[in-house]
Amino acid sequence: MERMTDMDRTLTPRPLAGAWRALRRRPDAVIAAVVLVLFTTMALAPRLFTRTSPRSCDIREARVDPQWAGGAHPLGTDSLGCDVLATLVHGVRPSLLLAVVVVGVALVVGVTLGLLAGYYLGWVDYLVSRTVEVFLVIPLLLAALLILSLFQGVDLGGGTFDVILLPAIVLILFSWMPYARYVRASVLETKNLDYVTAARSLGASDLRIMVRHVLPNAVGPVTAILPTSVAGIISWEAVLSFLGIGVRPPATSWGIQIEQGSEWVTGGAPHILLAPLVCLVATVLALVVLGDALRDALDPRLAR
Amino acid sequence: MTEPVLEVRDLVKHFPVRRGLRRRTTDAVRAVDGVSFTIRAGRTLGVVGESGSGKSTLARTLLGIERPTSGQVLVDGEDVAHLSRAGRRQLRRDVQMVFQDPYTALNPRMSVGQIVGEPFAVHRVRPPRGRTSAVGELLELVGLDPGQVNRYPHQFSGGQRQRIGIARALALRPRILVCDEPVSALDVSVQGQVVNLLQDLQDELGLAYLFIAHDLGVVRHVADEIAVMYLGRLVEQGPPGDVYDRALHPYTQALLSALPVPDPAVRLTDSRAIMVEGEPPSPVDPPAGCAFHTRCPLARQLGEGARADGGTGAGRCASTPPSLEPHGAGAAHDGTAPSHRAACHFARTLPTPATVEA
Repeated sequence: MERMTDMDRTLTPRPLAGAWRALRRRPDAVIAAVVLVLFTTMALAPRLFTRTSPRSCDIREARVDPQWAGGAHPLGTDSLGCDVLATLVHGVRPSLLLAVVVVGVALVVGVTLGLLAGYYLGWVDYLVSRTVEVFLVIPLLLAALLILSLFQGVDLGGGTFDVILLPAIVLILFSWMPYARYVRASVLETKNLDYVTAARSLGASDLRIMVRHVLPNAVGPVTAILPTSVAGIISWEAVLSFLGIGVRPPATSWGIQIEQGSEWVTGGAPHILLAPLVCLVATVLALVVLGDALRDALDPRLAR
Repeated sequence: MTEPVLEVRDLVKHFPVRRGLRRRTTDAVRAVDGVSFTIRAGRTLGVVGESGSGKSTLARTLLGIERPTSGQVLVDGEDVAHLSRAGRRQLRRDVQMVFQDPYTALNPRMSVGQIVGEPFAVHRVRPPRGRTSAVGELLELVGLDPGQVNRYPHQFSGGQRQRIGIARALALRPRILVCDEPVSALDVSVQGQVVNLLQDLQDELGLAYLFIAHDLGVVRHVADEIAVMYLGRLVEQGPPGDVYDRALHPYTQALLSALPVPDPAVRLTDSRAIMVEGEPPSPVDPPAGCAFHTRCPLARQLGEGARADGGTGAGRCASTPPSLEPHGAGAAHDGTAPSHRAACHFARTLPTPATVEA
């Protein structure tokens, strides 16, 4: 009896415990995690980092250079005299939320469609593949303008989700295709391997085969493009803001800040652009490193 | 004599070839083209033949992964095609497979415990003393340490992986095990262990084996009956002793003459080696008459002159497909032992070249 309980414990693998052990062995992953935790706290509690409101702007103090830790404007002010640090800190929430929501939903949609298309082929594949191609050839900006005009004048409110709703819809619509294509391709490769045949000859359901056998071995390529997709979404958000369908003012975001700051890079105030850009690069690098480490940790073949 | 566990009657599996814009079915790959055999409990049928002869398609059809084009598969006397839903589920349990390549047969992301326990999960079977102990027992049965359930396939050697695959196949107590070249991807030193394991399991559990291989030596060691396949058909069938020592079909004779003999005193002289030239013909368009006549050394020997003669000479080879019929000593068989049969108009024994001393 005692031996059986012992067996029970050894039978249930604990991938998370193993993952944590592997993660600890990589200092770069720890730094990346710290960066992400920092920005997440910033998004949840911006007042911990600045007491200045991003909306109390004094036009007489426009484009003040960074005064660092001592001054009233540690990172200077922008072209309208708003505090750069305050804008940055209050812009984290919409930026990260948008990126996470868009990549998350697009990932689920893309992976599901790609899996179904690659597994069943036939008309399912035909439908999915043609839809992917249609969405690939429609210019994003054109569709964005169309949706903008559809929703013009509709008051969406000022809640956290409401300010990112429009850009989220547009960006989800136009960012799920790569996931679908990558997953479809690797499903085609995986589904003819012997262990899938073995599961099928056992009488396993299609759902079980897809979820337990095909998908875990086919998502590899997708995890590689995830971190850069997050960066792409944040910069697209800047473009949409420029068109007026991004995050709605008076809410701020890194995208808006980058957009505004780019005018003054050569005009004597590069810090307006550099501050959000550095944060964006740090976030993306952290995601790349962490994603890489997580993939290694979860793949039993690479575990040591 | 016990009833056969598995009976295959005139099994045909064609894959349609679609061409052109309208994807019309123009042709068919005749992967399996009329195969019949029976296997009894505790017995092994060895199937040999070159690549592309339809061995693997035969296996996949028996497992229900491919639907046969025509013909019948009877498990315990019941036609598989007419089974109820529950019957089909039972069939999935009764027939299991051991795969050729132990490196692709196991999901790299699942632990050994999950792999061997999956059959229970799929069929919602609760083993008497729990799934954990059942998995442990299965691992023990195939000679692995039950303490290794948490490991992943990449931590095992090829032979051990093959044992894991066998444990998974045995989980639901099948009656028939289809082994598709189970040792050809393994080291020679490990081949023996796996073959012996399979034989021990057969004695212990009374399993019927369909043992597919291209290694004639291994097949001779394990099989109670041998079937030789060429282009989707059986060309010779019989007890190993008869097939190996008194081969009737020229194709079998050629296969045997290609077998290396691990004895330097025995030497294959060139005149004794039976050479089969060229590639096997396309299964989309198999030759008329005997499928082997295009490459058959015997048909060549019988002479070009006889070819025009439709009745007696080699001309018959090109016009009439031979049927699998008892020949020689096996013709007078009494119904108990498997008879020795060959599908050749001119079947006759040749002294096996390998046994001729140089």
